[in-house]
Amino acid sequence: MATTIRSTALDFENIKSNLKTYLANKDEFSDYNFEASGLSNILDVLAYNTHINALIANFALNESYLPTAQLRSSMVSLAEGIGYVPDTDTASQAKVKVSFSTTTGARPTIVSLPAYTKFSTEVDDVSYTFQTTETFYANDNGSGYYEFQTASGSNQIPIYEGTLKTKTFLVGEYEDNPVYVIPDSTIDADTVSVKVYASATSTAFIAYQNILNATTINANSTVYILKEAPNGIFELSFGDGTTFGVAPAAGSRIEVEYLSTKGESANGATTFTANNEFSFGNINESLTITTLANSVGGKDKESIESIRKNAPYQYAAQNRMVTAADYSSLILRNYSTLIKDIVSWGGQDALEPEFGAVFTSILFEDTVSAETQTATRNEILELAKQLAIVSFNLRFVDPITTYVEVDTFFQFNPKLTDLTINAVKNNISNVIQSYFDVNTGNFNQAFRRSNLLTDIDASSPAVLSSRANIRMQQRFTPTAPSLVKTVRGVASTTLNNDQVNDIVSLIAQNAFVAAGSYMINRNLTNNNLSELVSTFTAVKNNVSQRLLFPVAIAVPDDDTYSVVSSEFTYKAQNCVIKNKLGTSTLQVVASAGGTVVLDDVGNYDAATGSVTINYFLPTAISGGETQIKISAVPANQSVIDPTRNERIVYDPNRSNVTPVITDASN
Amino acid sequence: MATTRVLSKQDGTQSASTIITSRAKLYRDIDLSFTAKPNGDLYLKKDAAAVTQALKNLIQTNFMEKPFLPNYGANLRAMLFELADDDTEEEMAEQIMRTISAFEPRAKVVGLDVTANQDQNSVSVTIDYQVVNTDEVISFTTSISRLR
Repeated sequence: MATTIRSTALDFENIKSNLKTYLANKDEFSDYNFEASGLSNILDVLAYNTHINALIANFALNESYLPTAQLRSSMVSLAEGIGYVPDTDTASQAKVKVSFSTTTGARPTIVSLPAYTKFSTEVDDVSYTFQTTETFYANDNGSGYYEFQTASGSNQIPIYEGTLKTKTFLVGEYEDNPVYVIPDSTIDADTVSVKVYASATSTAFIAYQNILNATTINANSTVYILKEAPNGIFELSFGDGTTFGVAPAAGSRIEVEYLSTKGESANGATTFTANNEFSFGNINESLTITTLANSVGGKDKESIESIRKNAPYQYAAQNRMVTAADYSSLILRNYSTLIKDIVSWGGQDALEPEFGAVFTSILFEDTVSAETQTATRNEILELAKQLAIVSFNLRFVDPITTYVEVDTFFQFNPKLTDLTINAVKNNISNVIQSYFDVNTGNFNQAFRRSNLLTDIDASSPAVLSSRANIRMQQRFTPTAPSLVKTVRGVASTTLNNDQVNDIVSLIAQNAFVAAGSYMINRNLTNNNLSELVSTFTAVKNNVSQRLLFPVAIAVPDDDTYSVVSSEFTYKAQNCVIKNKLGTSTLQVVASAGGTVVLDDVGNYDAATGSVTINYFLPTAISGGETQIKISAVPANQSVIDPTRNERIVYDPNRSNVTPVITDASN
Repeated sequence: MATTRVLSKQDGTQSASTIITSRAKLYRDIDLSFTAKPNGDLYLKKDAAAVTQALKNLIQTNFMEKPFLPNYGANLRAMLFELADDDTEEEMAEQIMRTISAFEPRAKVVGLDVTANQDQNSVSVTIDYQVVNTDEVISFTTSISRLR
């Protein structure tokens, strides 16, 4: 007999039911079961109160832990506890050339473009204002033409979307433990500058640094702390003046400048116009703006799901690059707006192991220009110098894209659907595309045929079953790889241009021994002379390209071809590359008739999944393509599992969907 | 002559009340006036009085007032600004019947009279009901009027 009230239930009905169970075992009252009774009303009050308390307790507990918190304020606060600062909005950035011409007499030889010069643009019919954040200078070219340049001499002037805002605070006594509130939720933290002036009217200032960028912190460090408050706005604070960071003295003035940005929506702007005429001394001219890179990199505040995922990794990395995962994590923290996916691995895991190196492959967003990619890589190298504990060499490798071709056959009973056969075919093509869009494209994302076929079977009741033949495809441009690349490849240090030129010219004269000795005598290589001579001989006489597929290729077969290329013109014939049946030797074969035009153009290694194509020069590639596509049948068609910097993308142009009509209904 | 039922020795430990078919169950509810007895306990409402109290509760409750039971109550407040005519009386009677049949299984309504008293801005409700499982027929009248 239950003599106590069970207290495990959380919802109203169960709590009330537990109370009734308790009363059922007591003699005093009998009407608890009738909803209209007074006792039932009292039970309602009790159960409701208990229910609300249980909910509050449940919410409070959920909000106390990273994996379960639902409110942004809780998430930000929990992340702060483990030293993770969520990303703020990030301003979209474009690169433009800014110039003007003038016929004014007595021209100055140098003019300056002030910081925060404004430019207008439109994206999707919405206007955005971009601006410079520093001063740029331009020299007269002698004929009145001025082109502004960065400090490093580039004409790529960076401009950022947003509105410049300034907040001024006067410092009170430190005992007040002041926190300076910036009531703006759209701050781009990367653009914040904090200047502390000695008095309310002083013009000399000390620029403070964000504590996240400080490598050492002591009582004299001029650092500020900027963090998101629970209500989404920002709060600025300083050190305590004794153990970490200088506290601005009472009476001093703090000026905070930042860009308030619209984030992601300003990405993709293509044309910019200056808001005002350029005025400098007696010059008043319109600025000519040429877009060198469209606006990219704008991003909205980090979502709570992203914080939930990233905060523990950041905590594990401790702002230091030690393991391969740390490299990915810290690069992503700083450049997440430009990067779609990133993968890093230690040199010991590389295909050709290189100890003491960390390899990183970055898949940039589609809109990021080549210049921005190069600049970002250079910045990452600088970042690695600061944050790496051990002096590993950070090496970038480009992602290797393997395309997948799918020949799908499906059993189709037209009586089971109202759709035409073509409509069903289209649906299936869309299903395949969407499977690849969702499940592949990034690093470490495998293709699994059974999952694809499950999606196809579920696409229509008229599709009774399906099968698919899978091919992997890689593309190459049929040109000789540069000698320079090979020479740099065998060097143990970074060669300067003179050294490379010397070596290449020796190889070009067939002086392989002299070239090898040159490198060995100057301590430029770890290879011995005979290795170098054979490498150089191979490069000079047998220039080949190697395509590396992520998985093993099917072994040669007497009936079917394992490797087949797209069509190209060679010796005035339309040809393809195929493996000779039953062997791994590749041949150039005429498309019509199958005559062998060039025997032994290369070979493939089934086990390692590599295809080697020797140097040959086709006159044209069919279909207006610039690359030849080499398709290989994987040894196991069920799964293509990329590793390291490999990724998989669907090639719809070389895929087919074929219906097989049937009367069967199941 | 009343029948006397005797239990076997083995069954003698069972509560006789479950076997005797005549009604022994007493309706016992808490008195919502919360008046205390001299010893500090609250008064009880028993049998017909308990059912009458429940009916009053039911009639005076509006929709959405009872937690997690939004359709509980006669919802008479919804008729506050209706015209006081015969249709209104009928509608109120219907609402009261509906809610009693849904939420008060102890009362079998044998007569219901809703009379609008226009001069006093009130409605008088008289319910004649039989407490189920007894022959007892109770009549109670309650008046509904706006508070101010």
